[in-house]
Amino acid sequence: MIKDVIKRTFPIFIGYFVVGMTFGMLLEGLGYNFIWALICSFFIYAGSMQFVMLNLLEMKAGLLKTAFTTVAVNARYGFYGISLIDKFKNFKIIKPYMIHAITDETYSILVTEKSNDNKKIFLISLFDQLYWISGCVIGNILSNVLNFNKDGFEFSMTAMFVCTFIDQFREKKNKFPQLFAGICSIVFIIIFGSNDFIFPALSLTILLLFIYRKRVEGDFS
Amino acid sequence: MKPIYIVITVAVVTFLLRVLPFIIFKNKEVPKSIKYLGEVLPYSVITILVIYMFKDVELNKSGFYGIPEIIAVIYLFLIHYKFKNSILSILSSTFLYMILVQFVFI
Repeated sequence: MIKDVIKRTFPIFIGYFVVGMTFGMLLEGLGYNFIWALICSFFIYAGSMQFVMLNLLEMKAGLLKTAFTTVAVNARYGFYGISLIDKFKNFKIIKPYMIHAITDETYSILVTEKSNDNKKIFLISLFDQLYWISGCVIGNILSNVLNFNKDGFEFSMTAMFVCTFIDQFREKKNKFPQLFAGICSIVFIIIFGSNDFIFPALSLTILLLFIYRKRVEGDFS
Repeated sequence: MKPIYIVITVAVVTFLLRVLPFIIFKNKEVPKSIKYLGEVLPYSVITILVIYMFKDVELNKSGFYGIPEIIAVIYLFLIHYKFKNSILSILSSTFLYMILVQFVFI
């Protein structure tokens, strides 16, 4: 079974390890050691939010802003949970961990996993997080040791999101979710600046998605 | 605000977001509007994150008007459209960007 799980999660291993290393290196660049990398990758375990948090750390953001930004960036994990309620219903003691380990990639593997083998489902989630933790910690530690010029390595994070965006863009005919998000982002960058636009942009986007719900819904379910 | 508090806030809020549906919808039917939002939200959030990434990237190397970024992103779009391989796209575009930023646009 372990071999099977590794095979299924191998693409995630590559992605999480490389991007995790990027996070670890950037974290070290801000002056935080591997203990911080371990804490973040274990207790937060949210790639995009961890990167946004680097910004928040750098500017010593207040708690309210941190909280609102986290809600905007990670709210989708709440919606993933809705589709996983059934899948997790037979877990008892480790259910909190299974809930904690919900990420974009783990979610997409779990919802396409046909079997209801709890052990396998648990291993998939666990392995995904292990890939992430090892990337973050190793990247952080090696950041000092690897003395090649790492300028520009942070582009890997941008590239990851752009790839996801492109894949999503091609999935559905209706592009309103992206269009609304794009326009709202630009508007609120102008109004609030590039560091404070996420939460208001997402809020207005959600409003627009409900106003245009009939147009969008047909294409999505 | 002390860094450890920022990290704790992010961790706690994130876990609350993850656990919320399991509490709210424990024995109930999920309303259609929530299901709808669940379907469309990821597309919007990723869009916002992409824009967020570029506000960072452009400010870093602002000396060159974001030209290395533009080149790397155009390359990324082309190679990802063609081969649909995330690993290839991410690694090669990052490699290209690093070369541009370290050796070409200095």
